[in-house]
Amino acid sequence: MTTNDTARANGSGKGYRVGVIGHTGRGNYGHSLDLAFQGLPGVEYAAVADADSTGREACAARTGAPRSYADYREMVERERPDLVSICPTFLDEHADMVRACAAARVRGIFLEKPMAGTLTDCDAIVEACAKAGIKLAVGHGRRFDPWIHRMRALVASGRIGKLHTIAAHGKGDRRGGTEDFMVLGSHLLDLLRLFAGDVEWAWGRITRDGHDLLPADVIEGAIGMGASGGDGVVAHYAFRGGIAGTFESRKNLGQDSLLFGLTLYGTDGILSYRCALDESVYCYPKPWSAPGDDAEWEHLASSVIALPGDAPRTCERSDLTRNQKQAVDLIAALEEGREPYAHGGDARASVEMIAAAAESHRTGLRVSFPLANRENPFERLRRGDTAPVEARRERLSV
Amino acid sequence: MKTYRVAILGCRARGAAAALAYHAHPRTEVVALCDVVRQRIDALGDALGASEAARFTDLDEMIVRTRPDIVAIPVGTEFHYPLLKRVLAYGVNVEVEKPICTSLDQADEVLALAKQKGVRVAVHHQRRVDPPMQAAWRAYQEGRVGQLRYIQGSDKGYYGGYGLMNIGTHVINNMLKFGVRCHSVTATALTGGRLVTPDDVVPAAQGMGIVAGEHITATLQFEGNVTGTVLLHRFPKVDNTANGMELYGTEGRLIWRVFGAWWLPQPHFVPDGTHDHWEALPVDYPPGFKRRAASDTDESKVQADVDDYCFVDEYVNALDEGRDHECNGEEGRHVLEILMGVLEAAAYGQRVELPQTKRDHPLLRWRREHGLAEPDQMPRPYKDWLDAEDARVADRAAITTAPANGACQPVGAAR
Repeated sequence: MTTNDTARANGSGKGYRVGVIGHTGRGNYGHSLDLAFQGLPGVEYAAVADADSTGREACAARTGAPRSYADYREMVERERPDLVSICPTFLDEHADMVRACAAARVRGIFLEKPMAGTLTDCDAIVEACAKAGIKLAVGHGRRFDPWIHRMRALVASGRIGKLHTIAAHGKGDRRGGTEDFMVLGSHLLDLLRLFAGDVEWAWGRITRDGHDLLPADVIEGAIGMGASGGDGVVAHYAFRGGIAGTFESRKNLGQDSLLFGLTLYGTDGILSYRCALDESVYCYPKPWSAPGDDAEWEHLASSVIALPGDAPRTCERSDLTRNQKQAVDLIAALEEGREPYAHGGDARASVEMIAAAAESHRTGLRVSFPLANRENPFERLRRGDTAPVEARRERLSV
Repeated sequence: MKTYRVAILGCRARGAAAALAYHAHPRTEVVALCDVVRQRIDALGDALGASEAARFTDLDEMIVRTRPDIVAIPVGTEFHYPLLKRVLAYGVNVEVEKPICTSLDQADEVLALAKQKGVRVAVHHQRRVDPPMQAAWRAYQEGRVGQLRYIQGSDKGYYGGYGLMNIGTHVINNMLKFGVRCHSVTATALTGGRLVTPDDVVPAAQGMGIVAGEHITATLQFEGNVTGTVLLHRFPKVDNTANGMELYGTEGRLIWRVFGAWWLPQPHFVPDGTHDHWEALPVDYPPGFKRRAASDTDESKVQADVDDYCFVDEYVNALDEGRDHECNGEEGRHVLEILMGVLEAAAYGQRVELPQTKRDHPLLRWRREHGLAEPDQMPRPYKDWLDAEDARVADRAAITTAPANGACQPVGAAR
């Protein structure tokens, strides 16, 4: 099917050519982002770019893209796609890939989360897209889970009274700590903002083997995130509306992922959302739960909870994967002249929340938003730019 | 075996509770009651059947005449420091109502005096030794939660700063039973929905020192990779059942409430019918005492409270064995370090390392640094105090449009 054919099939008069950027061996094609546009009306895959020939050929076969390139810059320059999926889970190439797309005047980008490893890169990505008029969607697919929006409706209806605290937990698996914070925490922090709005300030503490992370503990993190370290994270966020949020992750808390999710505490009830379970929202009719209490948790049924009017239109479409829901939303954003529902500004904000916890750990201070330091806080920690932590080490060694 | 002679200094509600507990224990004898109000002495003395010779309005006379082994000081917090100094000067063991004092410099002075006199100080954090806590402790020692990683506690929903000093001191002391030592504190305090400013520093109800914050969330960094969170959030209505503690381990969880203790045999709670089966732990009550009901919030009892009784029992055992009470003065001071750390962290927006080198009250220091004197007096009864505080906050909201935290130091990170 040609672009014009797909456009006619779509009935929109528009057709979209898609390019895919992957990097086998350095982040691959995270969460099948390369297939996000597959099967959508009015869309055709034009080309694939991957420095690894085997991976490149496999992706071309999966997507049906007729051409493939070893260099993503060459791909976007020659193909001039309308839409590009930037798929690697590794973060250190994201900014360069987006810049290349901006230079080639693509119209929309679907970028794997988290956006980047540093706020400097996030700023560059957002700025490049803004200047080029690119609609940037970032793979925070949890925003398209209808249960998230049913919970928003429940909160708005007063089902749990006034929402005051949201507790988020990462998976706490072998990646527990900073890697979990970055890889899965970015989803949860994004959701925290969806419920609570913008962050005013944050606290954070990073530990390794039970002690505060020290300069000598800083390592090169996984997935190209740059300087990192720590197998334990506790962060506290104060949102502008007065809601408090927490995030916690520790290494090897279990492999069943049950902890991964959110718990919303209101003045009259609790909502529990566990990412690993389907149909998994539970409600408790009191502001705190204790065994021996006469109340019981209720497993909520979707049929009784209407979505709020501002939920993304695709979130309840069972014919679409979560990636496809985002892809359709990205195309709609282009056509309607609006931002995608999971846009670059939101994605940068979740990285900022991660950086804030590290910055607070480094400085020993409550840090306000937007963060003044856009550099990787772990990098500064490694350089010894951390008087409070050093002081603590001296005290502990006494 | 020795029967310990106990003098009760202060005959209000907490004094009566202490007297009932010491009266009920077979190894202690209440030999004296003292208060500045004769009617209170007589009411309690009549209830206990105390002789006229055991009733005093002068504490010095009481100690000289009755030579007690223990003087219990169950009085308002603001009186702890002067009364502890006067009693300890006689070289007698004491138990004092929680928290130990209203500032660290006071606690330091008191404990130095006790050390000099060679006597013991116990701080009345009775929840730490109550039967449900002992049940939770046994389960913890049996390894039922695996490696402890996180502790969460909450008070009853009082105004945050007042709740911190009143119930938070229990909560934190309970957490220390498992977390052992806390080496730093961070905290957030909001009043009227905004970060506290030096104007929001107020004297607490019931003489519990200087506080700030209607809603306080504090995180405690214990040694050994254990973190704690303490929630001190004002509720529309105070609820005793909200007071509790939950321990999160690598293998399971424990919940403590004053009316029971429960164990979850997996680390994650999910209310899905599979991962939500809390097992009630067997709780051993002393002879003559029974399980407390969740609805049992009556503090005007004529019988000894089981927690107070257990506290007395621990003191008896400690004195027999020549050791300190589990809730001893050093522990009580560490609790106070955490309380003061919470207030300091909330005020200054900084993580506070413990033990603090500055031992004065951090909120008064904060006010001084902003050119403010000590805050004006407020009503002592909690309800009246709350009305006054609500009026103050409403007045301030009406007359100021200053940005949140306007009087504070900037909290942004350094470039």
